[in-house]
Amino acid sequence: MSSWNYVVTAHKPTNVTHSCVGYFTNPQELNLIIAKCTRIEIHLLTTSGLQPMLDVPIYGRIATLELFRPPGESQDVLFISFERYKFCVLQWDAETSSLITRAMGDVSDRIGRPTDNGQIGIVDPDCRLIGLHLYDGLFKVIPIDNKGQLKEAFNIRLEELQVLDIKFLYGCAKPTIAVLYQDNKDARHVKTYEVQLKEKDFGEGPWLQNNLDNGAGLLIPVPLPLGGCIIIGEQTIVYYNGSVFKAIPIRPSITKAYGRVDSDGSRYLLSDHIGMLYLLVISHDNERVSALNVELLGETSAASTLSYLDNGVVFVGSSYGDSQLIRLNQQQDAKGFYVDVLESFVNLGPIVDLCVVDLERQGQGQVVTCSGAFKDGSLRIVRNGIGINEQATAELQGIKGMWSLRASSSDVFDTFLVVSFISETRILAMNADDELEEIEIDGFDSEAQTLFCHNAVHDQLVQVTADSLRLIDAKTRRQLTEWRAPAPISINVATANASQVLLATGGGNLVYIEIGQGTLVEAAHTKLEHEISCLDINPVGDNPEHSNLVAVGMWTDISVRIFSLPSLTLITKEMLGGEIIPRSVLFCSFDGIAYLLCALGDGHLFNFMLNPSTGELSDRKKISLGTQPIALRTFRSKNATHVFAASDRPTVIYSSNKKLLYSNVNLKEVNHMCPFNSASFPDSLAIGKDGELTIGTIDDIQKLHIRTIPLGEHPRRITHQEQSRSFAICSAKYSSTGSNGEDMESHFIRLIEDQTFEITAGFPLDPYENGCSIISCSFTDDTNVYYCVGTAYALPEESEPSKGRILVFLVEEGKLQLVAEKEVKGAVYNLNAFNGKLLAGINQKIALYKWTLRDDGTRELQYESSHHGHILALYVQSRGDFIVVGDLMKSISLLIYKPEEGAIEERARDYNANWMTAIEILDDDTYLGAENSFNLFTVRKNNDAATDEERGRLEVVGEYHLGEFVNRFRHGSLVMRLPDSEASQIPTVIFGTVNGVIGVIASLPQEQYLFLQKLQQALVKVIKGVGGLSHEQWRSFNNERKTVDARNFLDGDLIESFLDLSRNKMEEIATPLDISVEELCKRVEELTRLH
Amino acid sequence: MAMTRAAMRKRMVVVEREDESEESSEEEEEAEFEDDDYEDEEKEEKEEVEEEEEEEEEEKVEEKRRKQKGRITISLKGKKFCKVCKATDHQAGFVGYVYMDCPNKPCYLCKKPGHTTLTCPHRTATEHGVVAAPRRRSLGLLDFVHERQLRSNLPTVQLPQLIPNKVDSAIIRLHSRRVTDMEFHPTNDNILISGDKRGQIGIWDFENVFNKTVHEDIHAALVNSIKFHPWQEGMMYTASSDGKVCFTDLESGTSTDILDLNPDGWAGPSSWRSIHGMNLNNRRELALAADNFGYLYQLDTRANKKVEKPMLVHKKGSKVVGLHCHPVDCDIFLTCGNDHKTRIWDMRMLAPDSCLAQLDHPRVVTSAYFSPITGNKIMTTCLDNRIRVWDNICADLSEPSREIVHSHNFNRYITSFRAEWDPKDRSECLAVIGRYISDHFDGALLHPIDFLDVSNGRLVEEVYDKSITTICTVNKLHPRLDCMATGSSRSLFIWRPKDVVVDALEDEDATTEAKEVKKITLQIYEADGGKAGRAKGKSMDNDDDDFAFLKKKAMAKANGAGPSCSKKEKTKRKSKSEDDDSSDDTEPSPEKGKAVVTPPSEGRQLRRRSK
Repeated sequence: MSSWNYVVTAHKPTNVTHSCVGYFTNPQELNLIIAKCTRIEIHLLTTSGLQPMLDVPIYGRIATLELFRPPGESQDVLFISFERYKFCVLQWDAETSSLITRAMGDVSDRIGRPTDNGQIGIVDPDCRLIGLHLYDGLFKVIPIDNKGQLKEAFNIRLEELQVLDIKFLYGCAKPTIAVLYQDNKDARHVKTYEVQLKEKDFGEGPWLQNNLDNGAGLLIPVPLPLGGCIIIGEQTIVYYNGSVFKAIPIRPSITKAYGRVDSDGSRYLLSDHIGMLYLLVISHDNERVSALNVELLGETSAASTLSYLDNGVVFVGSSYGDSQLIRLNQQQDAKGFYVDVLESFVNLGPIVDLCVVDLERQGQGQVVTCSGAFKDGSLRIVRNGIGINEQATAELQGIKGMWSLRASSSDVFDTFLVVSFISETRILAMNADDELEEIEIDGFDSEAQTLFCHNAVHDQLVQVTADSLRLIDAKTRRQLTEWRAPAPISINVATANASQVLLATGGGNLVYIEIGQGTLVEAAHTKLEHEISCLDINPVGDNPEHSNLVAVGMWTDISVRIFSLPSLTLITKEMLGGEIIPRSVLFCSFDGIAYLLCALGDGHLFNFMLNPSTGELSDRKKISLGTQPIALRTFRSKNATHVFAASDRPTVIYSSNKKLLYSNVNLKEVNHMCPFNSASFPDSLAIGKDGELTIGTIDDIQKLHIRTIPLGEHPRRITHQEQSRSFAICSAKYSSTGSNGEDMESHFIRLIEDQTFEITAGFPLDPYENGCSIISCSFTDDTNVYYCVGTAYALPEESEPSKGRILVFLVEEGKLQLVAEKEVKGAVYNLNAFNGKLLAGINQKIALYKWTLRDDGTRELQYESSHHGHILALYVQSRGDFIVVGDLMKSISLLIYKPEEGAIEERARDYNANWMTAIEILDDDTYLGAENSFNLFTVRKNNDAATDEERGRLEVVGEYHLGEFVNRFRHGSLVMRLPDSEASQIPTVIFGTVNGVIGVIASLPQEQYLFLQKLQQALVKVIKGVGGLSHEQWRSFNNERKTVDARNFLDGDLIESFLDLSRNKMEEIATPLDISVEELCKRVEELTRLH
Repeated sequence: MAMTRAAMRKRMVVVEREDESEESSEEEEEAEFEDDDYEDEEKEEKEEVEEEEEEEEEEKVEEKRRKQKGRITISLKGKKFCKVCKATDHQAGFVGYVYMDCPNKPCYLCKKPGHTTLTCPHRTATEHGVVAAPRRRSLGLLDFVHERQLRSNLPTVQLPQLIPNKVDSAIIRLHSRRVTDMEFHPTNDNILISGDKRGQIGIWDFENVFNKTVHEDIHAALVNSIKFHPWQEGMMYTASSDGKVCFTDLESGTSTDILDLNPDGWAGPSSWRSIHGMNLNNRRELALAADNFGYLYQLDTRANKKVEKPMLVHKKGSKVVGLHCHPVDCDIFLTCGNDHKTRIWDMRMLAPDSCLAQLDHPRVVTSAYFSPITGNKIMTTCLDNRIRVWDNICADLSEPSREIVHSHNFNRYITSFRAEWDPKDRSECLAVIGRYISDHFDGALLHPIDFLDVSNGRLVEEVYDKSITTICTVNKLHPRLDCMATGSSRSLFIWRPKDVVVDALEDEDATTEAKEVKKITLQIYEADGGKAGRAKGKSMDNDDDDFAFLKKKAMAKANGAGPSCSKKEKTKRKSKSEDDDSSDDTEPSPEKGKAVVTPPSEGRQLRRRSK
């Protein structure tokens, strides 16, 4: 049963829809605020760049975003309106660094036609009112009083029904709007109105301007001293203020975004639909506008929003490509442009299609998405976990330990790599040719296994073997002194930092030795009741060379103990419970917070918060990283400390937002790891695997890794073929042809090698022919595996395609060979391999084709049967003889193929009028659908129903508002599936959305679902939505026909935010659920492993 | 559905004189045509209420007057005089269904001077003089599918409109009187409910055409409105001119009166109340009904009883013709009445003279509907031969957004025409209405059903079938399927798009077995066996021939299989009077029609835009 589903975001939305700049967090410092549809990010402008301050989810889809300054205040507040007709005003709380809701409300009207051109939300520059245009023919006013409080909203009837833009004008005695609209004859005009707050009506405005450019689409109000308005058209730009009229022709372009450069409004940035960036300059003498000028600055991603920050730096927010931070230069570059890209922010949106593959064949899925649109189109390879880029590999059997050493304390880079084996120690060093070469260090005991070695103070090295502790001069490489364990006991475990050494010798003896210049002084000694299994003396205090604390892991009583130095007095003893001994302990500090990590022999990890001065432990958490013993090591990458946990499932532990995160590394079993930061391979790691030593660099530390393959054209469909190790995509190339600027479209099938992602072959489609679907499949009685492509001829005079093709390709030597083609009457929206045949959704019908052999030995597709009666059979999935169809507007229906009769018949359908955007089969009886009002739902086949009528109905079992437009579901998982972990038993579906979200839907067992449902209910009470928006309302299934509470779906993002809560709040939630905080954390952390 | 019609057959007489009056009026309907329209309108100006009733064939109230008038008209038959200007030197006005222009009076269709009906610009182009609604950008289907993957907030696509233009199944003379209202079953796709002038309610499965039931004893007069209970399966409310609202079980026909406005029976036309408009407010669980004296009644659908006091919603004593609740916010509703007004009301502030808006019309408004999906538009049908559309109910309602001239004013006893929305059209542009004035189609004079795009007044398609010579007054588009039901005279027809039928049959290389499966059959069922009309004599035997063409087609297609056409269920009528009403608003055969028209030139054959 897949009726209980858990929905969680694996990759947050990246589509930047809005942005604005203002003094939000502080009266002196400028902020950039970015909206990504369902998230808000607040950044601070610093001299070194953008510094993130807050990134929060919001329970609504943001429709408009504006900053404004209430009268008498020194900071801006943020006005947001949402697509479901809610609004809120947010204010920054400096004390808690969070958002306070200053006002909120509902501005919906039950009757009214929602605007076609999107919602408009604007704030009067003199802060007298907020204006909203949500429904055709209505202008909603929220008055603001002189204390900055919002008053009750009212509607004013707006004569213009086809509004394109509305803006407030500057410098008007009464609040005045300019309305750009289209009349019944498609001509465009601008009209102004005064808003009369008392009369709740419009008064006549100061001016109007008729018969503008046919493509006029954007109004830019110009601040004082000039006032008036700029009207951006497709061929002209006009300035008008009632008396002065200036117009200039421009190169044909559709302007999508603008950003004001100067506060006096004399310069503006404009970005058009293909990402060309222009500067519009208004020449004036502070009273009268004398001229307009437009200059091309350069090319960026196609912008959806432009925000001028400071000093020529501009934020370019994009929906179709990566968002960018750019600098405008005074000087032209070689291409004649003035734009430098300082930073790019990855944007996966819009994810039009995706496929899940396991390219490395490691049992871990990777998602390859068709991302971006038009010229910003690309493929993105999204992978969970951190990749190691191997630089060198050597075969080395039986590695027991590895350490890197610097040649001298003053060196920045490591020179030596000490590799320890069962009865010897070998030292590798970088030579002049950047090769690792074995060398000898005289002072080292190379005839014994090294237990530990480290750079010590005074330019010395320490080496610990089972017999002795040696101190070696780094310059002369000679042994200075030696400390030997009193015979017959030997050293079992050792650790050291720059000035201290800690040794555990047999019988539970713990010896503390301080390193002096050429001396080793045994400063303390204590005997414990059990054997010691692991030690750590990493400094976590202020002094990086000296620690006041040591951590000791014990055999027998399974505890971890903290002792203080130099006296070796026991401070804390933490019983770990269970029977598995701790194998590695480690002090570390992330984001200024000290932790103690303790790893067990069975792959579990405890983490504690550590008080570095008292040595007290708190906030105990336990999670499972793997199944084998874990060895913990710290390393630095990109100026941050991370911990590497080597085991059968190597993991990097790092911290973000003061929360520990675990990211697996894309390597199979790792036994040992040490950082090896050499001059020629900076920031590398030496990794000891079974019989192998690898030197490699590590990717950025983050959960999901994204590789971009820019295509320069727009990929629409993708599929992978295992046999030919290739991807095939349908793509569209847009090119503007010369003078008239008309965009030409040409369509291709491309073959891409799956390792290098190089395009190896292309197949141009006919003029007007679009690629609509692509699969890799094989047929009955044929051993070959083919790519099948479905196309449609989009002839300009047809509203619905009447002709398409099914093309069958064979990959031969990296080329596409067209083997067969079949003309059909309509667009082939989808293709499915179906019992050795080919199932195609063509306009209103589903048709089945068989692969037959002609007399001449060639093959052809032959029609077998079909099923009619859909509006558009857009999405089809099959399982066995069952076919599930997602219709354009008639929800989901279930068909069955009857092989004996060769017929396809309808078995059942969902009678709701859902406009589908994607479907997937969860199991034999349960089907998942996404519809175009951003909802998910599941339907179930009614096998046991008493009557035929009931059996003919697909019962809706789950409903949920995702808030995202899903373009594709695929079975699969982004994470490595460990055979024994609970999570691996849970089937998952991955989805991709317009906003660039990659999400996971996991079908949970009922017991777990019910438990999490209780947890979610408890969390809703504790975690309040930003802007006072309700979680329950947000997640309720909502479209223009109905609104019902969410059921049988859980909000994984909310549930996993449990882990971010403070201990107190966690307890508040855990207690009524009758479960310990620790156990609850474990169960939630287990869920985070699903993505 | 059990075929127990014969067993159940008996005539329900509520008012003693009912039978007699009906018959006599039927006679009139055949024999005479009501006085021409202009006269009507002039009179109307003086004594509005009375005149309206006349137009609206209000049988009980009018009966006496009719009788007298009938005699006079009959006596005038054959004499040459102009019905328009009363001059005797020429003949003009309606002859049959054909209108002959009077040289002294302007166009019958648009009533504007300067031209005749023949040359009326509205006749050749329905969009003439119409201010089109602003064009919304609309993508082709393929572009829409691709584009919405990039931008999730795309305005919805214009789906290709499939016009049901081909008769797919029919039931001939299911009713004993003309059909007055129809409703599709809310969940069972192929069940059509119809009400007739005598108060009978017919239930017909148009997939199995011989599967039908007629409930006869629910109402005693015209069934004006049928609405289904929102959640009680198979339960419906019916409102009738007998002053009752009944709650009826579809299956068994058992019904309870939940409102009876004439508890004391017939006491003359001045006190007889009849109910015309009825609609359900599902949020408040109310049924709203309005009577012929301008009053609104509220019925609780949980308790099935009257709540609140009747409230005057239209001019006192004037008939409320229609009532429609807003599809999104059902507290908002529309009423239209004989007082030439359409009014918008809000349940939350319901009081006389407190309507939200009043839409003035020059003549009687026969229907007013909110658009079916968003409820943002209003469409009214008015006897001044105009369909009026308001594009946005939030905007200024003082003037309609456009007026489309269309022939639906009538001068005989037929159900009044109502322009109805296509409930499936998401752009809320397509409307359907029968046409009164006849035109030549393939040599026959027919009354087509017009599909109009109300955003620009364009005639999308005129739908007709050669064998349907009667006026198609009641037309309903199916809320889910691509089909339309038409109630014309006593028969019901189901139309489906021709293209789909063709498409299903062709599949380039379909295997033969597959082809056979997809054969679509035309199904016709003659409910009364075609006997009734014949008894009346020669003049009436065309009644059978009317549908001969259809039958022939059905024969050819179905290859005589099944009971659909070969098996004629004979359900003879017992009362001899029934023979008379067999041709209630059926027309003389096409040949006859032509004969009458003889003189007018061939120019009458209109050039209409081909579909």
